[in-house]
Amino acid sequence: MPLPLSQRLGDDSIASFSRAAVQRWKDAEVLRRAGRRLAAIYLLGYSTEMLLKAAYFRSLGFASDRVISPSDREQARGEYGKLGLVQKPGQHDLTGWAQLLVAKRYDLGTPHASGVDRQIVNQAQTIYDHWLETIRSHSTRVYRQEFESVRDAVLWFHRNDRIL
Amino acid sequence: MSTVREKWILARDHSSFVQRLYAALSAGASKGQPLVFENRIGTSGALNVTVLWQAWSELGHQARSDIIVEAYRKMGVERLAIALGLTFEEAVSSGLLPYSIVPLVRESDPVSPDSIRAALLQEGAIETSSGLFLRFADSGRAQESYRRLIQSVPGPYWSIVQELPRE
Repeated sequence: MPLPLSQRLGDDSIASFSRAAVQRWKDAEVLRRAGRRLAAIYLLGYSTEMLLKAAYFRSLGFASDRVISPSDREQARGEYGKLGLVQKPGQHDLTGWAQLLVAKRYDLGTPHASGVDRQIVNQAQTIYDHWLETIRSHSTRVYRQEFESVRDAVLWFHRNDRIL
Repeated sequence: MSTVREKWILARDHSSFVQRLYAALSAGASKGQPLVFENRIGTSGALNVTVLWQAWSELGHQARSDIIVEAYRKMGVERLAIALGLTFEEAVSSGLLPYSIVPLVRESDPVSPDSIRAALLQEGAIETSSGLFLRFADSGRAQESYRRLIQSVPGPYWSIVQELPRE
C-alpha cells in the first residue's frame, strides 16, 4: 500500500518548482481546450509562481535539488524593505515575488539585462491583475481577451525561464 | 500585447503622460495623482518605483512602465530596475494601500455630504468606478490625514480601516 499523496509530495526545491511549473502549464492547456478558462487561469498563476520562486532561489546559488524550506521563503519575503518593496509580499503575490527577484539580483550585483528587469515585473502584474488564489471558490466567466492576456504573460515567463 | 485602442491612446498621449508625470516628480507631491512610491534597492543605487494613476487605466503595464522610465530620464535618473504603473483599484487589489479612511455619516447627522466629499478630495481622495476613496500604504500617513479630517469636519464621522494582507 503506497503512502498517501500528501506524504509522497517530497520537499520543495528549484527542480520540483521547475517541473511543477511545466506540468501546471500543460494542465492549464488541457483546461483551456476544454473551455474551462477560470480553472486554467488558476493553474497558470501557480505555474508563474513556481517559475519566479525557482528563479529567486537560483539567484541565491541554491543547488537544483536543495530543499527550499518555509523559513527560506519567509526570509526572502522578509527582505522586502531592504530591497525597496513598498510592502511585504504575500505567499502567492506574483508581483511581489517578481520584485523580490529583480531587486535581489541588483542587490547581489548580478542584475538582469536592462529592460528585462522591468518586463519581469510588468508581466507578473499582468497576470496578477486577473489572478487570485481565491479563484478556486468562484465560477465567474472569464472573457477571451483577459484569458489571452494572462496566457501570453505566462508564456513569456516559460519562454524566458533561462534569463529570469 | 497592445490592443489597437491602447496603441491609439499611446500614440496620442504618450508625451503628455510623460510630461505630466515629470511635472509631478519635479513638484514632489505626496498626495493626489500621480502618487509615486520611490525606494532604493539595497546599496545598488537602482530604484524601485511604483506610480499610481487613474489616467492610464486603458494602457497596459509595459506602456505605463515606459512612461515612468522616460519621465525619470528627464529627471536625470537612469537606473530604474522596477517601474510599475498601477491604477488605484489595481493597487488596492494588490494590497498596496491597506489603510483607508471611511466616512461614517448617517442621514440624521448635522453634516452635509458635500462637506464630507470636499474634505476627502482635499486630502487627495480618488474618484474610481466604485466611488470616492482615500487610501494609504502606511498607518502613519493615514493617521495624519485622519487628524486633518477631524479638524476640517469635526465629529464622529471618520474611521480608519485596515485591510488584512493577502496570503
